[in-house]
Amino acid sequence: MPRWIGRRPFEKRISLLSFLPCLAALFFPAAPTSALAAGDRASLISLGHLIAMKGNGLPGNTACAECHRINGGGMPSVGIPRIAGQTATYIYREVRGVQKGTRFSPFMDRIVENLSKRDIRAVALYYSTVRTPKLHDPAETDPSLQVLGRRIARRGLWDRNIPACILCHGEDGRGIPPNFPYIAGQSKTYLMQQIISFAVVERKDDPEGLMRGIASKLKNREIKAVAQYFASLTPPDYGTIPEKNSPERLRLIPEKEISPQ
Amino acid sequence: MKNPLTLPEKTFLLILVLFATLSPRAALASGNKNFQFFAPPAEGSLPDGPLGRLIRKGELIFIHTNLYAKKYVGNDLTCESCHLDRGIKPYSAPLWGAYGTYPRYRAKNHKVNTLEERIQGCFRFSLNGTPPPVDSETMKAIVAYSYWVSRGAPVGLYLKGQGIVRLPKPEKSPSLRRGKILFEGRCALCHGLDGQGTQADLGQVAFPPVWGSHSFNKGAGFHNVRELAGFLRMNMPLSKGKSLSDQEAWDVAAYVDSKPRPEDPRKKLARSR
Repeated sequence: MPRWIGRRPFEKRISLLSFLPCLAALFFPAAPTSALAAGDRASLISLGHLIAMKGNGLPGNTACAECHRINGGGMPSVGIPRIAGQTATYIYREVRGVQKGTRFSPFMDRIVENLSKRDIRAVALYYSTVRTPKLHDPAETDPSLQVLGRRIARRGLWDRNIPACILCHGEDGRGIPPNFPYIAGQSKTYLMQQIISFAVVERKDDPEGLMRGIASKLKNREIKAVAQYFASLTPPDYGTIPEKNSPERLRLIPEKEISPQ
Repeated sequence: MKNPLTLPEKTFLLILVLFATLSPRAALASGNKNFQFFAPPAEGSLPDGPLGRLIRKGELIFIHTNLYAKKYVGNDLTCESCHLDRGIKPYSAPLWGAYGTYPRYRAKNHKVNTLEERIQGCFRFSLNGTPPPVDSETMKAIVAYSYWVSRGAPVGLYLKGQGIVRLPKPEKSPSLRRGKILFEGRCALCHGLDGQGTQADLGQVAFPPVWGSHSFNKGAGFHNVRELAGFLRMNMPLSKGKSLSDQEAWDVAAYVDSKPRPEDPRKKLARSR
């Protein structure tokens, strides 16, 4: 009898044994993967922090914090947006947009040229966890436009098929994660710049062209009014969710609307 | 050629022009720049006093139905989910199109319906809840608000933009496969791949669920593929109405209506008997 015949059952046993961990992984996949994901998230955030503070070391890539500041508050005076607390999905989409050229940004396109997808994911995750208060916006405001801005924001101009901003950007512009960014507390300069760049199709990374369609229907006066209105609001903090029916949660409806005049 | 019109002729023409500008149609459209649809009263013109307060309450119920008419609502939708722009936008069943057309015979329940009964139908089917009694504060507020936005609209006449567009039969019969592809491409951004809508930062409903236990039930008008297709054609995606073709609207509507949702309450009743 050749030797290999006698060895076969043993080999079979070996192969069965080697399958066991796979079977275990099939039945209890949650424990190891979630631990891995948590570790991955932490390491991604620290990588993101590093890139935000120092860049990733490749040519052209300077620190994000140079313009967006350490805590992501941006620079309202020159229209550099605040990105603190913006969703990671949105930041990732926009940085990729700049890389691909669908979002026109003469400052940023050289800087993000050498970021890998993992770098972008890391930096997006980092800034989505950062919180910072609203910075002073030196842009001039026209008090007579505030009413119009509030109307467009809360009610829209439906006769021209412009829905209220808050339908997609959330109550008081606090955003609807993950796809719709918050716009409350952004600087007036930045908001106007972006609406105009949607209108002239320099920025074309908006899903389904929703913003391009809306921005092109807005008149200059209305753009100014709505940018000013959202710049006057407080940016959100996604830290805690208030209790149901608590005063914080009922803040959804402005006081003016709760008690009729 | 000298001036061919005599003075009486001129006055006649002038009166004709005046009549043309003041005709009901033009008057209806006053305030609306494109002179197309009926224009409800201006926002700031709400009267003071009890009636004004009631109207305002109706408006609030329209926007935040879950908050102001909580006990009658059984899902995550609001009035505004279907009646866009607080029940004013043409082609999304505007209130000013409905107010003057009731009482009306409806084949749905084989009887003549008053406006209140029609609104009760909304709560029972589209909001999957319990209908508010006719003499309840909620019902009074909604009727008062409907009255307010319909002020000046003719009674019993067809108005452009009322109700929901009735689409012609599609060339190809609606396909769930095409509907699924369209839904995932154009609707899922807001309504989610699972059709459950999106919640905002504090857990409030931002984009309504379009199927499942938190959406309208099988007795609702939108469970009729033609009605839903008509709504989608004119209004969806938001701000880009009319960007879906008739065929695409039929496909998406057929796909959405093929998904599971709460049972028709009338059938539940019939079964329990």
